[in-house]
Amino acid sequence: MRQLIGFEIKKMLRKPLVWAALLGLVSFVAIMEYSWVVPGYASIQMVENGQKVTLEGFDAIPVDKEICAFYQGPITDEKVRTIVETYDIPDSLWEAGGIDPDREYHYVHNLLYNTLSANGFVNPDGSYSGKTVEEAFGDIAPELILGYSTGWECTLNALLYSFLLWGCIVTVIISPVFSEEYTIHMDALILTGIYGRKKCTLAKIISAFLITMAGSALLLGICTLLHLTVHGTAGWNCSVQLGELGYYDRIPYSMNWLQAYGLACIAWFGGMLVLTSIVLVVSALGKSAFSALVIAFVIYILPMFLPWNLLPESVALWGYLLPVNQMQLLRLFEFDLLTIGSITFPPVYLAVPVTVIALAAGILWSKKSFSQHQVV
Amino acid sequence: MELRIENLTKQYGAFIAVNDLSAVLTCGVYGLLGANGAGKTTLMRLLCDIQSPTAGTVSYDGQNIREYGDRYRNILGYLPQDFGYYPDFTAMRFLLYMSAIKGLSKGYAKQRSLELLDEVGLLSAKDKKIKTFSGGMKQRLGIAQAMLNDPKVLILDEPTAGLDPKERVRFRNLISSFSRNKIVLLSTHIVSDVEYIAGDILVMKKGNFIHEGRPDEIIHTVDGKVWECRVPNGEVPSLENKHNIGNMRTEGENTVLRIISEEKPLESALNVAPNLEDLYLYYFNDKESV
Repeated sequence: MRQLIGFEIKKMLRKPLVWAALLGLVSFVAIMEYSWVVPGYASIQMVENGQKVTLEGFDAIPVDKEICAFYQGPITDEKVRTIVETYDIPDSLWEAGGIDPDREYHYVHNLLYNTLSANGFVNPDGSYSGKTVEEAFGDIAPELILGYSTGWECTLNALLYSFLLWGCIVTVIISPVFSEEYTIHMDALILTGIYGRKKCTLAKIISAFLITMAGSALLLGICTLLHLTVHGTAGWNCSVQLGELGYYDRIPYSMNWLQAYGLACIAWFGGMLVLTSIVLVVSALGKSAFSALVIAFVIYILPMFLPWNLLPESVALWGYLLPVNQMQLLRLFEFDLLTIGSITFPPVYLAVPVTVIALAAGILWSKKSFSQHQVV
Repeated sequence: MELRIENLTKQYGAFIAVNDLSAVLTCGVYGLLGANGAGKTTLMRLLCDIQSPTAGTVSYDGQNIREYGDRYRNILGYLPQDFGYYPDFTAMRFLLYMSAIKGLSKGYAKQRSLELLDEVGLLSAKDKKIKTFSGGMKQRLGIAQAMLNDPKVLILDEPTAGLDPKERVRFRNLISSFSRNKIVLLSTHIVSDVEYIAGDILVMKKGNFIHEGRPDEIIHTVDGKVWECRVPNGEVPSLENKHNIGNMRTEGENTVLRIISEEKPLESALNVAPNLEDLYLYYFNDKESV
């Protein structure tokens, strides 16, 4: 079996198209990491000795972390007011730089100030708007923790886009697993071998999942390592709703960055497993390698463009659990907590049973389709 | 050792590719002769259990091959008509892959692959990629993979298609050398392929066996129907339109024609001994469908 798995993995990977796609992925991840995480767009403007000082990249990160550490903890109205007033840059310094001071909230200050301005706590001229935390965040306001978030937020975003692309590449790698045998007429030879219908078919399926999971783990591992190297673990217990970029500020329940990272891992790995199952079935049922690739790609990508929000929530939820939507996190994260009996849980957890069912169905269906394939 | 075909039928919609065939194959080389589209490939796929019959059964030593399952595949060797391959695999790597599918242990697979590469004359090309091979080399590699598990039932679908005469001879000899103690079924529409090596011939037309027997036996079915005559070159076109013409040989102003006909085609025609090619032309002349 190990020998067959080895052959199948090599068959899948030894293709110019696959290498080109993987090279594209590596380049894309490098660009993502550079522009989001290493060091990303980290930037600070502050007043030092009466002068406006700008720090960027690796220089900005430790200063930002230091400011965040000082204010880390539950967000309160008093804390909001203090931060806004402390880091307000005098009009004269903006004017000296040729910048309109009445649009101050548009400009970079530091992570905390930017977070607060993005949530309506700051007037255009940079002063405190008087908005309360409860007004901004409603019922979950008392649970929100302020702190360093940029590293986590940017890493999640970089990983999200990387996983979406990795999904595309998985369709390229895996769609020929069975369908290519039909195209090049190897099906007859395989299906007349003693191990052709069982072990070889299983080896193909295992190889496909191994490639998907190994690639996903590698992607996650590298990006996480870069995050930890550049940003450390700072802010892991802070609330995702208080991220500087505001991507996750509409999540209706309390969630910190470590929880978000864990749930994202469930969503990404679950999504990749479901995608692999779907592609395997398409490959086994496909008439040719090309048609299998096109169909698998459309099945993967199309749900991203469908108007799920127009459907009833109970229906839309299942749409959000499709691989491409699930891997984008937001739609699933923003869905209200689900309750079954006395248990309340984030909808992302639904990805687990969905993945298990999809895996079982995908394995059985593709195995049956290939082993009973009628050679033509 | 017996491969029994009983009332085997394969239908695609309204088209009947294989029509209620029955036969018993025992040790020896069987030539399956028929024009393109006669149903040879479908029959072979049914015998390999890679297509399901619409009706009827194929049994090996009394057991239905569908139930025999992996045990049947363990004694089966198959070379399909459209023999697929992985272009970037080397010959050796391809045989090792096929060995893994045929359940050969790693060590034995290597030894067996080298042996077979040697036997089919590809040992020196074992590390070359298959995409660089000629048609003949690919076919020889195909027969090697079919022989990996030393099959008891060897099914070869048009193995000589696309080969030049020298390669065809070499291929025939190769099959002959492999055929001892095996049931070998060799399909072709090239008469000379089976003429020399097949102990028995099955003639197939429109999904049916129209003749079965030893070559000399079935040749007798066209006794008295093969004629030779010498005619002026100018008369050849009209005779071609009227009769089923076999070989033609121009000798100066005249042409010697071999005509397959129920009746004496010309006064000057002489009845001659038929051969297998005449039989083929008799049953598969151009004026008829397959």
